Amino acid sequence: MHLEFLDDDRPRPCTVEQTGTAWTVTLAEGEPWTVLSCDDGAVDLLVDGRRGRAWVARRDGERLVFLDGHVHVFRLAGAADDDADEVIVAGGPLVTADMPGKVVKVLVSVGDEVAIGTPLLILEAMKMEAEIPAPLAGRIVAIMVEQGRTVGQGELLLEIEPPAGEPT
Amino acid sequence: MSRPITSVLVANRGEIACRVMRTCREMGLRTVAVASEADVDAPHVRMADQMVVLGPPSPLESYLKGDAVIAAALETGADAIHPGYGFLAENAAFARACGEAGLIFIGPAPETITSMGEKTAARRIMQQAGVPVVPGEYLPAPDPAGCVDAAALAAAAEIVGYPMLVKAAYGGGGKGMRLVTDPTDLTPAVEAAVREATKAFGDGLVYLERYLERPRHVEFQIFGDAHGHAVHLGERECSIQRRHQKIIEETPSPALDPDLRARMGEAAVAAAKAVAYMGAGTVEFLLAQDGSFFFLEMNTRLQVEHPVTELVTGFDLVRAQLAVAAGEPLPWRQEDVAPRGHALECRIYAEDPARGFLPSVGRLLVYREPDGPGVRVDSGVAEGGEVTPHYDPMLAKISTHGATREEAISRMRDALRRYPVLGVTTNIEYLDAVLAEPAFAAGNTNTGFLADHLASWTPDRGDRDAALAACAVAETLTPCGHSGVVTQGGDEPSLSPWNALGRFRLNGLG
Repeated sequence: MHLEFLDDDRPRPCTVEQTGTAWTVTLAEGEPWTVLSCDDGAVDLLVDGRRGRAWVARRDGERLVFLDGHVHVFRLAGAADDDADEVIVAGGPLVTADMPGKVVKVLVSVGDEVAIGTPLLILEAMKMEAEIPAPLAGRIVAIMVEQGRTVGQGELLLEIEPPAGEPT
Repeated sequence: MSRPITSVLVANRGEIACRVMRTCREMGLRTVAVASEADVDAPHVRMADQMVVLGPPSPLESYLKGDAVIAAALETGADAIHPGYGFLAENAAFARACGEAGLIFIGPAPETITSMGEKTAARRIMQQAGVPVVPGEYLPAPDPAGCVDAAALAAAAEIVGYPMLVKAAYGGGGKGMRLVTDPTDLTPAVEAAVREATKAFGDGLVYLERYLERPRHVEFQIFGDAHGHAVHLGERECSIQRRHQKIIEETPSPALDPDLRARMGEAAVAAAKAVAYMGAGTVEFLLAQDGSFFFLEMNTRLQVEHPVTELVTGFDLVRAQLAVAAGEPLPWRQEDVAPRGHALECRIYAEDPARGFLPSVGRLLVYREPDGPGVRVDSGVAEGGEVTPHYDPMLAKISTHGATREEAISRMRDALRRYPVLGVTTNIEYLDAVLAEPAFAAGNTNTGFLADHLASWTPDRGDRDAALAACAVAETLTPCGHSGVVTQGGDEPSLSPWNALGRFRLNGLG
């Protein structure tokens, strides 16, 4: 069976063949891998002649793999892109909340000129405060939240207009 | 004054609530859990014999509502309240209200909590008891807008000197704490600390303290009873801290020799006796590079890192807390304390070390704890559970015990590699990177260790091809029936968006 994953943006074609009770996985480069068993999210495979246990979970188009203390994220090729991290629209980048939380203080006003890293607002989550820095230099053109407001992950916080002529 | 305890309400959540209930269950005591509306299915609730919902998810409306907790205890017939750590654990008014309601508060007397919780009073008492202290000054209470009087702030800063720490008077765990090196940063730092302290502890009082460069953080576990006995159970080195939040603790400290241990232990017992301490407490010291040590604070509660002390002493600190609270004498004398081997604890946080340690939230799609000889996991989460932004991001603590420090470290590194957590990002890989540092192996730890050795840390790519091979086989065996490459727009309608790979077996066995 042929599958294709994305490793960051690099396409990674894989061929999976069942061989008796095990599987052989062939990638574009390197020796084929031997997978011994796959049960309830736990996948045992041979790594340099030693048995390793990976754990696999799916989250939308993402495939999350834990192996030997490391977490790997792949994307199934062709799956819908559900990342809402970087929203760029005409007029200027929008700053969004990385995580759900509460706006403790808004540190800038509409019209302010900010440099990269200028603290824009203080967001509180899990009882810790985090400053949200400006991702680019420019002028604040809109602030969508106010002090005390609870925001969800990905929610728009404010909009920065970069200086004219500079690409974003 | 001895009074048996038969039923305990645990006024906390997460791993510490589970930890306390485990000992209660072992002793045959009935347990009552309290929960916010976000936690009604949490592991601590499932462990308890009974459960009372306190209110909405916000701690101020649930776990910090002392009157609701006391009402829950009375309603369920509990005779004692164990506060765990954080929340109401160091709230003297709550401890007093428990007593007034006829309930046993499992902790020290309210007066002790007040004097040790108010850090200037604590320092004064310690100075009088002959325990050395660090220079520090207390600020007046903030006004309702969270501002502190500017003249008083300037005067206090003058006495303490830079660099200094702004700390929550009723705090702990690094919350409400700020390092200030430049006088122009002082006012915003104080305001931020006041806000965090108000939110986390219900009181915005803060104080200033001189900051020692790269000291070690060494604390002593103390225990006292109502009969005037006090002992120490040895030290814990907690120097591996990120923004004043401990992440790795161990005992014994590589920095202490028997003579220094004896002197610090005596100072810790003197501190306990100075306040007629009852129950489990911790005396924290800063240990300077020249071997001088200063009293930092006394925590009047069971510490997060108590398992390492339990592993080397063989004592159950919660069992002893319950005994002392019931009026019994301490189960051990100082000469009974004979620690064996070495123990290490790592705190597992739902946070992303590659992105400024931002807390990570979401569903635990895969969560499996490692086990084996000398491996202990204290956790308050389960696979399928949701990590929410309402509470502390600590998911679990993993502790290992070995005959030597090397063995404890090697067990920990193996256990971290067998600790799959998928769905939220954790610091597991980062913790392993700390343990892999030659300076850690050499025991050269101080509170600047992470800044010195891990500031440029980035996640290791690991064996990506092996991971991809595993992923590919799992993908061919998904329970929803689709196989091969999913076409554009063809996502999986039969799967919930937050779904771990379901149960399936190979070769027709299942």
